[in-house]
Amino acid sequence: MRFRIELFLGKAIIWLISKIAPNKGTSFPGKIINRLDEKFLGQFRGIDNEKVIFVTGTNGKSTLTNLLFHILKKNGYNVVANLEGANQKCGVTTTLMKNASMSGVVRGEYFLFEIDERSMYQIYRHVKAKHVVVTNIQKDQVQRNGDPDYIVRHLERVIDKDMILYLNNDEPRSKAFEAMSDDVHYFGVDENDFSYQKTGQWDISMPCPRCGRPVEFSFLNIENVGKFACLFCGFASEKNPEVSVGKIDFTLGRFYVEGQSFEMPYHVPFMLYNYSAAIAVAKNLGLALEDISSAFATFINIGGRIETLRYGKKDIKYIRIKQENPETLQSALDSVAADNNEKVFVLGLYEIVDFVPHYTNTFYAYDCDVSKLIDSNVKKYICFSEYVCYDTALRFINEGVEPEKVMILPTKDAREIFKAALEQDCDNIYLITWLKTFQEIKNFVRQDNKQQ
Amino acid sequence: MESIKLKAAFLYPDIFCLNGDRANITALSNTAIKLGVDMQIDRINLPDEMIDFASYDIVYIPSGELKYILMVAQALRRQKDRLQKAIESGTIFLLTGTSVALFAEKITRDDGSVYEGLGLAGYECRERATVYGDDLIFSATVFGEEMNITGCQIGMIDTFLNEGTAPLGKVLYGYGNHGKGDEGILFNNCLLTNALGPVLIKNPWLTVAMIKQVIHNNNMDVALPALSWPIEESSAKKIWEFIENKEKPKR
Repeated sequence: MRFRIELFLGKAIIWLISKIAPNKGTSFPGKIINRLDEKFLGQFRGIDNEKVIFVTGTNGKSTLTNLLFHILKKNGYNVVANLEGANQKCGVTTTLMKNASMSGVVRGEYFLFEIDERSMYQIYRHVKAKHVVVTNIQKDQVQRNGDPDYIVRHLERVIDKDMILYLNNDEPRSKAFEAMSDDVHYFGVDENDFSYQKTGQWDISMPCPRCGRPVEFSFLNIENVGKFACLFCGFASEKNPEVSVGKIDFTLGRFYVEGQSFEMPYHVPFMLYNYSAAIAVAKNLGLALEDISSAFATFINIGGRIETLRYGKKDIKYIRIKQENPETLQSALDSVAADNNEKVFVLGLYEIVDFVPHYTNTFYAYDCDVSKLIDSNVKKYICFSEYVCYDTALRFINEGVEPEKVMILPTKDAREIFKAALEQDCDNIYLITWLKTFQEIKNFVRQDNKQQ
Repeated sequence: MESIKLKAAFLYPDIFCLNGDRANITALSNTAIKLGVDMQIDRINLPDEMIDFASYDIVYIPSGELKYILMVAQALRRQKDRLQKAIESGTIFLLTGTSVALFAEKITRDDGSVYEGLGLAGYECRERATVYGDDLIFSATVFGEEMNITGCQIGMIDTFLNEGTAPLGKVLYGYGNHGKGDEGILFNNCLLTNALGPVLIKNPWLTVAMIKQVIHNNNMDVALPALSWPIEESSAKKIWEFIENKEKPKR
């Protein structure tokens, strides 16, 4: 009875939020109800644990969850999923409340959840998952996550031998979970036009999760993800993973798995692992490659990474990053570096305002390789933000960029930032910053364009 | 005037270097060039490799994950005498972030398991149950020069000094060793700090002090040019301004 009253209250909160702020409320209702009853999440009925899929890891969770949802829906399945990125206990609770009947029954053929890697233990206590995907375990949000091993230990509390694990064959920390289950499916990506090797004097690899000695990559597809081997203990990528995305043609936007062609919804290297993981899961759930492929052609990702803003007579190409996440910054830098035309490069790293204490971490920028960007014909670097713009500038100056080429703007004022970018005698402008600042800039551009 | 040739070792970059710490090596190299110093930097990848530590003027060990620090401590134990010899002969050691635990007498993990560190100075480290990330600013006298160091700390360990062990500095803002005002450890020419990431980029005055000390150690008769650091000074001012305005954590 208590559960039904709480569920009714939760649904009422969801309804209320949908009326006053339709875009909000993906986790708040769950937060309130979980406070009232810590065990609430475990009392929904109708959830077959064999049909529950958790997608966890550092990068790619949201995209992979959305892609898998799309594949399953396109193939006629009824799927309950948290697609808006609310991936902690309160987000999962809210999703289930939204999809439950008044008596608490949730009807779905599959239950697909993006799960925050630190929250998996809290969720798994209430909702068991047969299928678990670990996309990758990398450096991210160090104020929360400390270091990758801290996250590995969080996941090890949950993962057991009865789970079906989907592991990244090219990412050592993800692959190292293989020892914990009897049923492992590997996904990977073949060498392609964007694969690379690290040859710089101070380039770094990573420690082997098994023995701690340096891992060697024969090629990398993205930072610390590629075919690897530890020459000391033998831990290595499988030679023949179950799914390997191959014959990758970025120009045509196509790749192949076991002879089946797939259209790439987005032609960028970091997406290839999402494609590979989605195919591995869908295939193991019994879908034919042909049916999986047909869904790829119509997939649209939530919040694509590149957006163009028109201001005056100039286009500004925006690429989104997550702060404190070197992989997203590296991908963004690589996207800019792929354009060898003369350009103005505008970078707004900000202080970290996740929770108190806020702090001024920009050191993740030093985990990124900026040499390709520097070699890509940058006419002017503009580093802005109120407090850490000087640190951002130092990243480039320390790498050999002449200080005269770097403009430092200690401001968050969109007008000043735009004025500086537009004053440069160059029409090719790239902007990288986090989403919050970009939204502010976008609002400014919209209003200013209206006034003109 | 003598030509100045110095030698530095960059230890285990593939295993550690968790927080962009490799930047400190380029900072060391770039600052040396500005000072007219020829700095040879050797990259040492494997903890199993025997090293003549005393042949180096500066040894840098970047921040790492505690799991691998324990592994490295175990591997280095068989050449502890070489480390001790280098420390006693005046080699400068810079350890940043969690790597501070490497030289500790004892390391206690969150699950209660206890490990031996290298025991090169009188202190112990205890793994924290939760991460504590914040800005860290401390004052220190490094090789006779007073300075403020600005950085960030991702606290995975608390460090407790034995009586008689000297901290590197005094916390002006932040957490430091265990939230009680002392920061890092200083013994012989070893500088151990909880600050991590590009410490030598943000604080080039520390880099200069280290290079000057090496020159002093080697009894070289040279006058180094005076360098100015306007961007780094502006950065430190801005970060202090940010700290003054931000909501302070409750500890």
